[in-house]
This record gives sequence, C-alpha cells and structure tokens, in this order.
Amino acid sequence: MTGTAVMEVRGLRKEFRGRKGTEIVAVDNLDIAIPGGGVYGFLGPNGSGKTTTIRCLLGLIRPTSGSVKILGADTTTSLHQVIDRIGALVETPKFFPNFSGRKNLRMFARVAGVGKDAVDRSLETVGLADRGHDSFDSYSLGMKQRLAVAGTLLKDPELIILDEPANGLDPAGIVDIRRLIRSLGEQGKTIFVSSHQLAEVQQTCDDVMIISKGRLVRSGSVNDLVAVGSAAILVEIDNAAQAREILEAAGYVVQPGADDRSLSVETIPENAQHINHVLAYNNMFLSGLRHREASLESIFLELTGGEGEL
Amino acid sequence: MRLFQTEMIRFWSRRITWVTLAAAAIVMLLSVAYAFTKSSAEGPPADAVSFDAQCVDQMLGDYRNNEDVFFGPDGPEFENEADFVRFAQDEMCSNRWEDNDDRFHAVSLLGSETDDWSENRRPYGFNTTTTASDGTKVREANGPLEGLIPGIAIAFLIISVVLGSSFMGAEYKSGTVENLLLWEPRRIRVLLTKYAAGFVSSFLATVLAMGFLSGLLLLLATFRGTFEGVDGRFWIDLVSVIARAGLVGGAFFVLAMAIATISRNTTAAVGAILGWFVLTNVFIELFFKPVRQYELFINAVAFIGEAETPKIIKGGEAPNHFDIWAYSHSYLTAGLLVAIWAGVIASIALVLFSRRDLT
Repeated sequence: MTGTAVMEVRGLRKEFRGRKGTEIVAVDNLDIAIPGGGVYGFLGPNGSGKTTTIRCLLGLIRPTSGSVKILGADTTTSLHQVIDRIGALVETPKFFPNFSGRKNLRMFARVAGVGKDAVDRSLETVGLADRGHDSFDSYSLGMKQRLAVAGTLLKDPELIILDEPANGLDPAGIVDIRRLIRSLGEQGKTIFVSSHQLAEVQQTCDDVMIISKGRLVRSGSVNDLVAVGSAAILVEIDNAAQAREILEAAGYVVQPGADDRSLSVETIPENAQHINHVLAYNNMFLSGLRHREASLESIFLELTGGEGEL
Repeated sequence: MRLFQTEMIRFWSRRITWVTLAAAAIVMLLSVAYAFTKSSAEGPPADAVSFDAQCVDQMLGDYRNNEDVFFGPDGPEFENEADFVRFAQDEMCSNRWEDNDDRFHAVSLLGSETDDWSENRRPYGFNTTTTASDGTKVREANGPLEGLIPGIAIAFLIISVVLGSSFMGAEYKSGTVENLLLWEPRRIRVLLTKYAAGFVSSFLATVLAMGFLSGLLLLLATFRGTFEGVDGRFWIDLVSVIARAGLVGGAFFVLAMAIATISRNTTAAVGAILGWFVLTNVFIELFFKPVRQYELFINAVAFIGEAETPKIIKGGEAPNHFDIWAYSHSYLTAGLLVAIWAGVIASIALVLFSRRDLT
C-alpha cells in the first residue's frame, strides 16, 4: 500500500451485536488499497460484508477496529475534508418521496454548494432530464436508481462509490450504466463499484476484489484472475466412471460432469492431448473433448465456496 | 448556512406542513364565520343597567357582617367599602350577560370581557396570600391569561409535536438522513442545523397561524363587536402571547425532532410525547405532586399564558387538608424550564445521533 492511495483500508473489522447478545463479525481484518483512476469491482455473496465495508468507508458505520482512509483523510475523524470529492450511492436510492427528482438533487446540491447547472447536467447524463419534475414517488425502481447515480455525479467527484448501481435496471439501463461507469473511469476518476452482476463487473472493471465472510479472498486485475482461474477440460465418454478412475490414476483432479457421460478435468488446455492419449491407451475412446474457460463467475464461486446468492 | 437554508426549504416544501397549516386555517375561518353568525354589531340597550342593585345591596350586607361568602376568610381584602361596591357591581352582580350583549369583544382574545384591559387583565382573586397547613403565609400563584389566543396555542403545540416528529421521522423512513451524511458527514453539525431550522420554521409557522387567527378575530370585533377595553397594554400582551407561543412551538418542535431521532420513527415519537403528556398528567397529579411545578407541559402553558407556575401545598388543618396552588416561579422561569427540557432531550438525541451506526 502506498500513501497516495485513493482508498486505503487496513485491518478493518466491524462487529455487530445480535439480538441475543451474540457477536456477529461482518467484516474481518479487511485490507484494501486502491491507487486511483479506473474502475474497481467489489464482489462478494450476500452477507459477505460489502455494504458494511462501504458504510465504513463513508463514515456511516464506525469500525470496531482498523483504519479507513479515503483521499488521504481518515473517515472516522476527517471525512468532511474530502467529502466534496466523493460521490456515493449506498444500497437503495434514498430521496424525499414527495419531492421531484430535480428538487431532490437540488436539495443535496445546495448542501455542497453545487449549482443548478450541475443538477441539469447530471439528470441529462442518466437520461432523466424529461422526468426531472415528476415526484420521486412516481419513479420506477430503475428511474430511482438512475437518479441516485445522478446524485453521485453532482459534485463532479474524483472518487465514486457505487453499491449495486444496476439494481432494478432493465437491460438497456444496465448497458447505459456500464457505459457511464466506463466513461467515468476513462476520464481518470476512480470508481469503486460493488455488484452482484458478475458479467457486468467483468465487462466494466479493471480490477476486482472478492470478499467472503468479511475477508478479502482475492484481488487483482480481471484478466489476471480469469487467466489463473479454474480452467477445465470437459470430457464426454460412454463409461465416465471408469474413465474417471483412469484419469485420477494418471494424477488428474476429476469432477463428475453434468450427466453420467461427462467429466470435468481441472487442468490447463495444453493437457487435452495427454488426456486423450491416456484414455485411448486404456481402450477408452472419447466422443467429445472441449476446453471450458474460466469466468469471473466460476472464480467467484470457487473462492466463496458458492455460498449465498450472487 | 447552506445546510440551514436546505432544511428551511425542506420544511416549507413539505406537503404535511401546508396541509396542516391549510387545515388549521380552514378550521379558523369556519369558527370565525360561525362566531360571525352568532354575534351582533349592536351593543346592549342604552338604558340597560349594568348591575343588579339588589344583589349589590345583599353583597354589601354580607361584607359588613364579615361574611365573605365568595372568598372565605383569606379572600381579597378591600381598602374600603367603595372598593367592594365597585367590585360587586363589576363582577359579582354584573348584568353584562343578562343584557344580551352579543358583540364580539376584542379583549376576549386574551381574557374576560372588561372595559379596561390594563386594570383587569388578570382574573381577580388569585393574587392573594393564604395560610399553609404548617402556619406559614404563602402567596397563591397568579393564573394565566384566559382568552382565546392563549387557549388555542395549546393546539399549535400539538401540531408542532406532530410536525417535528414527522420532520425527523420521515428522514429515517426515506433514508435521506443517510444520504445527507454523504454530503455533510459532521453529524453534530447536521443535527444542530436541523434543530435550528426546525425551531425557526416552527416559530414562524406558529406565529403566522396565530397571527392569522388574531387578525380574523379582530376583523370580527371590527364588524360584529367592540374594542371596548382595548388599550396599549392589550396589544403588547397579544404580541407577547403570540411570540411566546411561537417560542414554545419551536421548543416542542425540537423536542419532537429529538425524540424522533432517538426512536427513528414518527409514530413512536408522537406516541412517546403524547404518552409523556398523559403519564405526567395522571401520575404526577396522583403521586408526585411535589415535582409538578417542574413538569414540561405545565410550564409551557404557564409561559404562554404569562401565569405563575403553581406548586401544590397543603392548606387547612388535619384531617381537613385542602390543596393550595402556591406560587412556585414566574412565567419567565417557566419558559426557561421548557427550554431546559427541550435542551436536555435534544442533547441526548445529539449524542446518540453522533455515535449510532446507520445500517
């Protein structure tokens, strides 16, 4: 970690008290360092501590221990010094239901001394310029989400923290948000985005951090993670059970396939020829052999043990 | 300052603010319209006798025989007989009501009908000394101004409680308090600013509403009544009562906001305050009379009505004790106690708000 990191989390731990006084550890010794510029994905199953971490980052929750710095400021004591450089959306959009979308944004913009023009620009950016005068209550979930994203842009911030920004959006809306996030990243802003949409993260983010049970289990660039991920060779053969014994005897890690005529051999693509050779040597002949590429999703499931929903 | 402006705008943009004020205005208009139909521009007949002479003679006889049937042995003392006769003519034997005087009297905004507000602005007979059961002489507490405006102020306190609870409760319900902290994370500053904006807004709303009602009633007095008895002191009193009601309205708004901050819910806050009101009025009256004079609502009413807050002590000899409402403190001290109550609850809410996790 460096002193110039846009976001620096060290040893973050957050405990909650359960109803019967039990201790619930939501985040456990979490370390995150984001140097700045680009789009960073923050992945984890439900209940893994993503939102708790984001709330700690934004001073909404006091960490039990550890330190959190954003743009060089300790968020427990001096977040106000940098808050004008941060835009954030935490979980669901939160606005005054009876006020119009525009009025809601103007209310918050006034707090930060941001002018009317920025409100209009933000609404335009998220495609809500025509519905700005409608009450927030009348918005669909997707429109509310867009308004919340517009809110994060008002201050023209250096760092944007988005917690599930694609929630409730239709496919076109998801594409729009993806483009927006990418374009903001290309402008040199730092975007920290938590999401359940793994395919979206794979297409949008430069780097990802995966947490499970409050702990960071993997971080790095999306390309590197996929490259070293759990690639496999899918084998189709009549007697899969016997083939499995032979391949395991040859030193491979073999998992049963989707049916009793297939196997998944966890190995690199270059071993396909050797697998074919081993089986043919034992008078077993393949009806199919193909390489299964690792995806962020498969890596995610592998790292998190498939816990929870995505 | 920007946050203060934002909160002010929010208060005055809220639907509930305008619905409540509009409802109050409609009730006021209907009430005054009804009073208009029941009042008359004509005063009593010119030959009407303003007091019952036979009654006065009877009273004077009792007075001479030391049989003050109205006030008991510790009742008001009169310097001479003429004083008593004047009192009997004006108060005990007055024919004012029998004369079918249907005019709306402007002075009734603040108290009983009188032809001299400065002289008679207090209900007669309370400002007296009496003897407690331990033999000490105590002064009875002066009562409040009893007119329409001090009375109606109580309704505005309830409105302040509802609006104050909702002002903060709605923030928790919609989650905007969390959103706001993403723009201004200094929580103490945020809540103090909300208190300030709520206090000022509630003060203005109460003053506007009570000013509106006063204006309507004064119009009624202009067209269907009389300004008899109104003098400079009356106007000062009227403005003072409205201003004090505004201050208490502001304090109650802040108090309600604070309780809604603690409970994070509008209904719970309104329920807590109304429960507090009921509990104090039942339990204190029944079991804790010695602390009654420090109670929030009693002091709020006393401050608005310029009353001396009474403390209840025992009078009379055992076993025939009776309650004496003796002077405890002035209306200014009552106002200070209201401020202290609101301040203490607001401070508790401030501490909780600054430390609590927003999950």
